[in-house]
Amino acid sequence: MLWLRGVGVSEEEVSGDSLVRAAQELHSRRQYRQAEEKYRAAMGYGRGFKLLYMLGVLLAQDGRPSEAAEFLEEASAANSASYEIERELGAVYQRLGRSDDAIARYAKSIDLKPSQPTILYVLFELLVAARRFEVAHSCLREVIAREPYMATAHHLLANIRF
Amino acid sequence: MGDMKEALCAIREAIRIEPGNCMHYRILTYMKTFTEGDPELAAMESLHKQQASMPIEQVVAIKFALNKAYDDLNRKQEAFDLLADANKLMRGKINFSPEGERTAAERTMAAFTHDAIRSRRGAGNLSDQPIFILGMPRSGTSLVEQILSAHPSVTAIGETPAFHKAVEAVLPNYRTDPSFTDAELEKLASRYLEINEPITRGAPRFTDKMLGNLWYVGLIHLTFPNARFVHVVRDPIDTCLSCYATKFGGTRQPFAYDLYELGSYYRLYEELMEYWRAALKPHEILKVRYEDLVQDLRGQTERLLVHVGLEWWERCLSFEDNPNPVSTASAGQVRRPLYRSSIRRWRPDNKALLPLLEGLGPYAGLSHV
Repeated sequence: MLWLRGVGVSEEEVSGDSLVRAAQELHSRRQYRQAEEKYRAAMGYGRGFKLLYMLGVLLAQDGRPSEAAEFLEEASAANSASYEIERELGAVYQRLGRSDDAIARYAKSIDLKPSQPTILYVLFELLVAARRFEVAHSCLREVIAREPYMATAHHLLANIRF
Repeated sequence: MGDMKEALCAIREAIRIEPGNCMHYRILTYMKTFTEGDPELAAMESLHKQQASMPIEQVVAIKFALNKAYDDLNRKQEAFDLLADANKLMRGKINFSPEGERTAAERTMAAFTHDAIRSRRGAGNLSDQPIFILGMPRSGTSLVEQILSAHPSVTAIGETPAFHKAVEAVLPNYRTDPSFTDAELEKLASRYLEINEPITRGAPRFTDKMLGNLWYVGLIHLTFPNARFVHVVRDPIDTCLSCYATKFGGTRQPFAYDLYELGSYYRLYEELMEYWRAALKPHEILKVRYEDLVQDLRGQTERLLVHVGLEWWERCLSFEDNPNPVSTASAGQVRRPLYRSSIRRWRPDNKALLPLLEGLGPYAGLSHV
C-alpha cells in the first residue's frame, strides 16, 4: 500500500476502515466521485455487505442505477436479512423500469420490516399500477396483522377496497 | 375489489390511530353520505378550525373533505367556497403552463397533419386488440371502461402510461423529432403489447383509458391501424366542476385547480380531439355522450359494442357488478347503478363561474345552461 502515499493519500487512510470513514465523509458532502474512489479502494480490504450497500447507494444518488444495482445485488447476496439493502434495490429497479423486480424487493423489505410507511405506499402504488390488487390486499392485511397501529396500512387498505 | 364495509372499517381504524390526519377524512368522505349532526363531520370541522397550524397538504385535504360533506348536506355555497380555497392552495404548489400545453398541441398537429396520417397508413401492427378510451377526467371514461370490460372478451388495463413508455423506449427523441420509420412503428406496437402483457395475459381485446393518450392519437392510429377509439364527452361545465371538486392523486391533472385553466384545458382537449376525429375514418372513432349513456344505457352499450366489433353481451348493462378493479377517482361511482344526479350539477353564481366560462370559450355554449 506504500504506493498510495505517493499519490497523496495519507498514512492514516491506508487501511480499510479509514478509507470507509473518508468515503462516508465525502459521501455526506455529496462529493460522489471522490467518495466512490475511496469506497472502491476500501474494497481492496474486503467486500463486506455494508461497503457494497454504501457504494450502491452512492451510485444510485449519482444517477448510475445500473451500476448501483450490481453492487446492491452483491450486498443482498451477502446479507439477505437487510431491509435497507432490499429497499434500495427496489428503488434502483424502479428507476430502471423493472417494475416486477422493484415490487419483489420492496415486498421483501416490508416483510423484513413492516413499519416502513413510505415504502409500503410505494409498493402499493406499483402493485396498483400493475393491477395486482389481490396481492396488494394480501400484503396490507399481513402488514396490519403484524403492525396493527400502522395508520398508513389501514388507509391504503381502505383505498383498495373502496 | 370493491368492499365498502371493509373499506369503511379500515379508514375509521386509520382515523382512530391518527385522529389529526386529514388525509384519512378525505378518503372517508368518498365512502359515505353525510347527514346533519354526523359526529365525523363535527370532527372534520374541528380539524378545519386548526388549519393555521397545519401543513398545506393537510389543509387541502380537510377542505376537500368538508366540501364533499357540505355537498351531501346541500350546503352548496359553503362547499364551493371550501373548494375555491383548497384549489387555490393546490395551484400555488403546482408548476403548470396552459401556454405550454397549447404549444405542445400545435406541435403535435404540425407533426401529424391529416395528409401525413393518410399517407403513412398501412404500416404498423394489424392487431385490433387495444381499444383506446379518451376523454377529459370525470367525463365518464371509467363508466365506459366498466361497460366494455364486463364483456368476456375484454380486459381493462386502466390508466397506465404504457404507450408513453413504449414511445420512450422505441423513439427516445420523439419530443424533439417526431419522425419514425415503418419498422419503428412495428417495434412500438410490440413494445406496447409487451408492456401490457402481464395484465392482459392474452385477452382477445383490452381497453386502455390513459387519458394522456390524447397526445398520441395520430401515432397510435399509425401503430395500430385497426384499433378502435372511444371518445367520451360530458357537459363541459359539469365535467369541469367535477374535476374542480376532485383532489387527484399527487400533482396529476395540474390544470384542474383553477377554473379558467380548467376551461382552457377542456377547450384544448376537445379541439385536439376534433382534429384527430377529422383525421380518422368515421368507423375508427366513436363519440359517446355521458348524458346519453345515463338516459339510454342499452342503446349506447349496443353502439359501443358494435363500434369495437363485439357481439352483444347482456352483462355489460350490469357494469356495477363488474369485478374489474377501478383505480381512479371514479371508483365509487362505477360501483353503483347509473344515477342522474351527475347531470346538470349544482353551479355557483355567474360571477364565480365566469373564469370557467371564459376558459371554455365556444365550448361554454355547448353546456345545458
